[in-house]
Amino acid sequence: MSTCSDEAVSITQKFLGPSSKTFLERQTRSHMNGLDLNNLERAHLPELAKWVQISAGLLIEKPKAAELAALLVKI
Amino acid sequence: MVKWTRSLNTKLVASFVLIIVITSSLSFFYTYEEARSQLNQSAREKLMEVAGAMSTQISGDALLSLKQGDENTSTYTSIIAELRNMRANSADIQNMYTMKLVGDKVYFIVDDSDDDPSAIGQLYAEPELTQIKEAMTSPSASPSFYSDEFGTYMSGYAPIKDANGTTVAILGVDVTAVATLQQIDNVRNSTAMIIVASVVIGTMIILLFSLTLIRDIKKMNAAAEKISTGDMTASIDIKRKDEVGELADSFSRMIASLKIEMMMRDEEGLDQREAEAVAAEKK
Repeated sequence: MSTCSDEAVSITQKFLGPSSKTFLERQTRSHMNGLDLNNLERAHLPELAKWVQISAGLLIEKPKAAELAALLVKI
Repeated sequence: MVKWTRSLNTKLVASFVLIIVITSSLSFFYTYEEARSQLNQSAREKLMEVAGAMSTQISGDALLSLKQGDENTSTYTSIIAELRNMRANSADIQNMYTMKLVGDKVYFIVDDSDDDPSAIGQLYAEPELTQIKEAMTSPSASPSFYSDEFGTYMSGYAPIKDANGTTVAILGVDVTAVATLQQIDNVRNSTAMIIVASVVIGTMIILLFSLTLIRDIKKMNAAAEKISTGDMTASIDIKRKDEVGELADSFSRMIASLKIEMMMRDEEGLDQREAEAVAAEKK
């Protein structure tokens, strides 16, 4: 895994728990042209954050999802 | 639904109220006893001071010259006038009298009582012998207020000296406890009011704290209930920075993970929901 994806998983775990990796893998695969999470780079982060905010908003409180997205952009 | 008798709310409030009541009661009794003791000591000291000052106004030689049956002599009349004059200057003084100590017996010399004064040489039936003996050298007073059929009193005693400075008699001064008892009552009432207010305010604070705590625990319980029945719309909206907040965050992560795992089994449905969320955001 890239450093970037490690950090993304680590941050996301604080909001979504142990299934965060599965969640991020789905975001990159389904919404970022089949991108493998292991190949995540900084340039992908704004797009990933956008989808995380939308999808995580279905799982947790929307303000929390927005907070997660903001942290991902800052990696 | 938990019965109210077993509710955490009831247990918390009852425990804290019990602690407040016990602490307040102990504070009340300590404060009250301390105030009572201080006021009693203050009354004794004041009485000894007054008796000491008044005893110097009475001539020991004139007292010694009085014998049984001298109640109509000018010496007796002038001494009793002096005693009544001094008594008139203090509202608390009920009675003043002079006594002579012979062995362990105390005999009245001049008694300024308005009703049925003791005669010269009449035996004092139940004297405070220890204090009277002590008053042969310096002023003394009853250890505390005492009550009889006429009311609650404290007696002060002081030596009456002759021209040579020898103690020949004792002055007794009886004061009523009305003023001191009033002060003690005031202290008791004020302390009781403060304690009642503390208990009420304390109970309200605990009740408020307990209600917010229970409310958040109930929220988590409701979310867990939903998840347990397969309802994945459950979420937790708890904003606290304490241990309950941490528990809520952990709980929230656990729910989110469960949702992810369950949603991943239904990717088509998930795609649909995400598409709806995107559409909603665009609006």
